[in-house]
Amino acid sequence: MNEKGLMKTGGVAKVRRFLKMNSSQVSMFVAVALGFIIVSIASPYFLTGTNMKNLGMSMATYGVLAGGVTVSMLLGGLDLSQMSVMAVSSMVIGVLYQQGYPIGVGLLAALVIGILAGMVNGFIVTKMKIVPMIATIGTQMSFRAIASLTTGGNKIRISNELLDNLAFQTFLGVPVQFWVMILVFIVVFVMMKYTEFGRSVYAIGSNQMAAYLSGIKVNKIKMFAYAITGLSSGLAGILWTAQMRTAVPTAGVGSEFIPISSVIMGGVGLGGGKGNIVGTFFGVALLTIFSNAMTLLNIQAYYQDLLNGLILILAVFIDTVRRLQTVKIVKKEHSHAGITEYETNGAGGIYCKRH
Amino acid sequence: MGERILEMSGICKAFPGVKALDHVDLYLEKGEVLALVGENGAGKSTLMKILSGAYKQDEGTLQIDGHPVDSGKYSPIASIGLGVSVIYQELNYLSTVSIAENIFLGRLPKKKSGIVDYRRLYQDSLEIQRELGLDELDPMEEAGGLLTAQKQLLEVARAFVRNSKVIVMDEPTASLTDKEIEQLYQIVKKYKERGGSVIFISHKLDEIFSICDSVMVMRDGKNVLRSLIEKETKESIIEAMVGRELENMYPVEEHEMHEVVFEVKNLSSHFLKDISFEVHSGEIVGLYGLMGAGCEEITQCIYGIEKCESGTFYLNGKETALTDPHLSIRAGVAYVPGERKAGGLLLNMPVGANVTLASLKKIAGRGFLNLRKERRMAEQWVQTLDVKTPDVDTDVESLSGGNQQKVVFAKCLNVKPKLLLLNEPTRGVDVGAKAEIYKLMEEFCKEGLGILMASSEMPETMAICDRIIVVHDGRITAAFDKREQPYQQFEIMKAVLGETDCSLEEEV
Repeated sequence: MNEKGLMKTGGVAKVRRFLKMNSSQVSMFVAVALGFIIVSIASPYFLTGTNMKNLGMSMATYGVLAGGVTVSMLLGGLDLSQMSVMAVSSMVIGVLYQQGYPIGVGLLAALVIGILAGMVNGFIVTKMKIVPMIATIGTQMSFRAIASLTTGGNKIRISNELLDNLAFQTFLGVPVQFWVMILVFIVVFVMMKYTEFGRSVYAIGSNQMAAYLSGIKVNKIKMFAYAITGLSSGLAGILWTAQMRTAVPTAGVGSEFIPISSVIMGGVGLGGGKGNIVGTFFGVALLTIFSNAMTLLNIQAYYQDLLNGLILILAVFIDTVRRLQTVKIVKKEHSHAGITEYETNGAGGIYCKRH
Repeated sequence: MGERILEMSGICKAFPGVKALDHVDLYLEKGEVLALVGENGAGKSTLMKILSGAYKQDEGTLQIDGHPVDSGKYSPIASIGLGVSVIYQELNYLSTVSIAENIFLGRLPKKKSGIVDYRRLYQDSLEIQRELGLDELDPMEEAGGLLTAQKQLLEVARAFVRNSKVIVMDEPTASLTDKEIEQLYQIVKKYKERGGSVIFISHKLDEIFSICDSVMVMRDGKNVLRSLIEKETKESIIEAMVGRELENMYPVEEHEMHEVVFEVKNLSSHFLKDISFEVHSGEIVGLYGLMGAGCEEITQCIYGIEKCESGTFYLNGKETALTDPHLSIRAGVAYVPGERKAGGLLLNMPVGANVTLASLKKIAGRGFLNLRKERRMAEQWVQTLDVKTPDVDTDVESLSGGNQQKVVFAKCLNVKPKLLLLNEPTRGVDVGAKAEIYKLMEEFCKEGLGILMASSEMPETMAICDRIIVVHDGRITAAFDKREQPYQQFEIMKAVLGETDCSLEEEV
């Protein structure tokens, strides 16, 4: 009896602990569930098989992008060039298809292009020491231009069985694209939690100086992280092209921020070092349900953009509130330790001043 | 003289674990230049921060120009209004704004319409610049391009404009050339003639004797000496600075010294000059000097995070390149930074991840982490170092300062170093944890670790170090070995201050 009681409290404590440690993921899960229920009440078309399939497919592209950008955001970085890289990859598939290469070559090239583009971002951030936001806005414009330059702005129609299967086949009743996204999430999850690389990413995001002083090769890790994000953009390019059966240089224009909004919503802060890919999954789900609902409820596209803008601000605001709470805790402790003032020195480093 | 412009009496200030000021009295007369002297942590800056309104005292009263100050309403802005200007070592100026606007900051002359009267501003500025010998500068020039000395004078000019009655200068000559120092002296004299009073914080005894009227020495949060400068000598001032009774705070056994584990030869950087010394296995060597003397830079050069111009390092007799932390760690050197929150810890991450941070290879096979091994490793360190934490999954930010520092130690010791570099290892740590950390250092020394500790706390350095290397202005000025002769505070302080031409007639 006694033992049973103990186990019970142990279980409760465990659950409580889990909820506390994963508060942002849990709250996102609740939000997704609520959203799901509300939208299914609001629109009779929401819970239909076709719509669910659409939902799964549109979530797939954003999910792959968000899963990839989670990696660089966890180390405190950012990648706003994803949609442009996706467009370049898409155009590469189209051009190679047009020239008669087997589709496999195009798909491989799309992934390689993604990695290379990510490494360009990594180079600009680590070697040229430009803040990630500006660096990747710069590459966003440049890559977009490259995508258009491949054909002078024209689209390329593609009809290929493999691509069609990728886009429209289902496996266990779920679109193949969705499975691809799930695979990406699993890979990123394992990579972040169980590898030296993932741990280094978290360390850099948490405190770059401490990571560096502990012998972590900061630039190498950053480069690798941006390359992975780039790879995800290349993969998203493949999914997107398959869905559209067309290579389009303007792919993803206007939705550059959706992956990032969903990552921030999912609890990975702009500063990096906290949150995880599970949160990102719910973030993507929430935003996809949201945009699906707007379409089903016949809300004008302009309003959708307006709402997307507001969502981005809301996401960052939530992150800011979370961060301010931490700062408060740390500040309290500092004054406890007799250290309250932070000052920056000329070299850009931070040092505490003692009383 | 005679009239007191400033009177602080019975000032007490405590920070958790430390009594920073203990019934300190300070008075200043009109036209007096008072030297405020004391070693690091004696309480000078805390006292000046109370004067400037940055801190509130726990006890004690403040009178400026005969009027008692209501400590509840006192603030940095109020202190300026009452005529107190503090010129910190970190100068305050707006680098992209003109000289004139910097001088008249907050007091720009305005026309009736409310628009700034630039013509008058530049005229007034020139006038005051002339007074300070800055008249060759164009008042419209940006302040960012000025020399350090000129920026300092800019702050003096600002104090003049604000009709300050008291100016506090915190080590104003630390980065000035002889000619600039002479210029500053002239200005201080001029200010004095106008009836102004100056508190002059300095570690240069020569300077104190040539410009100050009187001297106040602080030690361990108390004032121990206040007298006219003519009555004192360099010797008497140094004695007052160090005259503490040394109780044996941390009883330390003799360490058994083994072979040389680390040696540095002719290390120079933009600041350090020709540093050479060795550390034996099983020994604690202290680098001691004033803040900014170069102790921390030496450890940073060794660890490879500060650029060296020349110098060779030998580990176990073999020349080793230490140019980046990951190379240093691989070679067996670990580093505890002076600021554990800025450079030591991943605050929002668990104890376990922090312990293995510098030694991920130990828990990784082919890039994959063995989280169970990590947990075991962390739990073992938590036990060995007696870290007070609920478990190894707890985030480090919720631990106390002392326990956080132990986690930093665990991280460093987990790389199994031969040489451990420490910077201010007990900063912001309470007394109990301090003793534990010293004990820990001892234990690992016994197992053959060599420790090099940079500290600016004299009692701690004297208590636990087998040898003390004194650094002054980027150079080694003396070395003391406890095993040859017990430490003498006077001799150490002399070397710390870079004074060579004074001696005690009899041993203290």
